[in-house]
Amino acid sequence: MAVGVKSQIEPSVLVLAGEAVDFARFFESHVARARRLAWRLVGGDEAAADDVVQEAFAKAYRGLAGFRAEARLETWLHRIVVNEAASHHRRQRLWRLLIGGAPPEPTTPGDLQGDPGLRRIISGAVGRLSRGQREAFVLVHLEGYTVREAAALCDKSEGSVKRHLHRALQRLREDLAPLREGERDA
Amino acid sequence: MRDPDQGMVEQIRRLYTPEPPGPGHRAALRAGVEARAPSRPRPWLVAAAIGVVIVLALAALLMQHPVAEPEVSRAGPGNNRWVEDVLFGAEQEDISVPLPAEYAALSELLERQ
Repeated sequence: MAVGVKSQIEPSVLVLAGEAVDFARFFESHVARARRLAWRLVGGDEAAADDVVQEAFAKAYRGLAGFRAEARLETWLHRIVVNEAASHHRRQRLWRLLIGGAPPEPTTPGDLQGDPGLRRIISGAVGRLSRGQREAFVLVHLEGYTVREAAALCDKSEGSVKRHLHRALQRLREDLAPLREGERDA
Repeated sequence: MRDPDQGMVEQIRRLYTPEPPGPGHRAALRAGVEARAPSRPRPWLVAAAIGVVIVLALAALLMQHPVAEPEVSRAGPGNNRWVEDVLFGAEQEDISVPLPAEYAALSELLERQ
């Protein structure tokens, strides 16, 4: 049922390369992947992922009239998601500075209890990466973009993405070392 | 050769993945998008915004150029206070000058003749 969006958003705006695109259909076909990307970029925070993906679709709607079909529509949407996640990250950092909160501590191997425990450890490890490292790691290793595509999505040079990727893997290896040792012992 | 990080990356990819949004969750997300992306600005909102801008601009202009009080000084002609004093009976200074003695004697002589 795509009535919710169609009722207020005018489909006529979504004319891409001469073809009318129904925003509701566009939303339905891209929301799952866009939300997964947002979720991964905000460190597994469900509410933040929802907020980021909603703002990204709203911005996509407002910007669709100016969309030049040079990039794929999905890549363009993902670029907006990356920017929104970055804004969320900045807001969170400012909030932490104002109220003096600390980032979550690494989970110890003693907390390991099946998949939920593993998920928590991995979320914590990815969450502790810097924004640049997380963007590079998520886009290249988890979402399957090439380094060049990831660089274009983040508005960075390929060299910068490679550096972030290298450091991200290094940090993840260190953070998840107990996990890998546990696997080897088992 | 197998990348030593590949196993770790695969595990992260498997476990660092959210549940896909169900129908209810999708509907809620759609409603959120709808609320954030209205189709066009409402005319009354635009008119109100323009009105507020005009009022603020006028207020700013008035604040910059307040109506000035006339400056009062007792320096003399050209001054409102001086004119008021002359016209409406403020005490006048005696500005008569005494004549020299020779002129006074001459004037007396002329009167006698």
